[in-house]
Amino acid sequence: MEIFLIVLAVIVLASLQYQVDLKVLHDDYERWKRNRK
Amino acid sequence: MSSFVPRRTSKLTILFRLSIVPIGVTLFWSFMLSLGGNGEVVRAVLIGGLGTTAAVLGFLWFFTNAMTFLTMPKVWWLMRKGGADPWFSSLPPPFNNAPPHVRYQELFEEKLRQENAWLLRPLVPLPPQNDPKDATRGIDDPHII
Repeated sequence: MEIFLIVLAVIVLASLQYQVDLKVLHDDYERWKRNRK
Repeated sequence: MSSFVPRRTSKLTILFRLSIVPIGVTLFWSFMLSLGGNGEVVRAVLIGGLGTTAAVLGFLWFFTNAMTFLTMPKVWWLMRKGGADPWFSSLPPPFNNAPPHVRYQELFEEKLRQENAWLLRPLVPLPPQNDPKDATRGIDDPHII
């Protein structure tokens, strides 16, 4: 039971971190698009 | 006036920065234990330390590439064609100093191309152009009758 909860927590935290990384990458892209040339 | 153009950090540089600490620790301990005069211990420490370093880095590289290929194959191919690598590009600044628009330049350019293609899409269907069949369409076409 505990192991299941730990694995679940790792998956949830990893997916949240993935969303954050995607948002940061998208913000980097928008900044690059505004500033290029 | 600055002519500094940020470039990709080379994979060899990143690999050196990643492995210098574990290699240094391994060499330090193999030297310390070699003072005891037991060659087998030194060999075990060297093989264990260097092998673990290579195994951990290889594991991370392989599974990052595998997961990228399985979940986002087009991204994987784009990065491969541009000479990038999903794992090396994703490492944080002490190892990879390149800014995001340099690390992910293929992805950014492809995204910009797709956005422009969407913004410049034809809003009405284009008329057929220079097709010889258009001149006689509906006249000799047996399927109409």
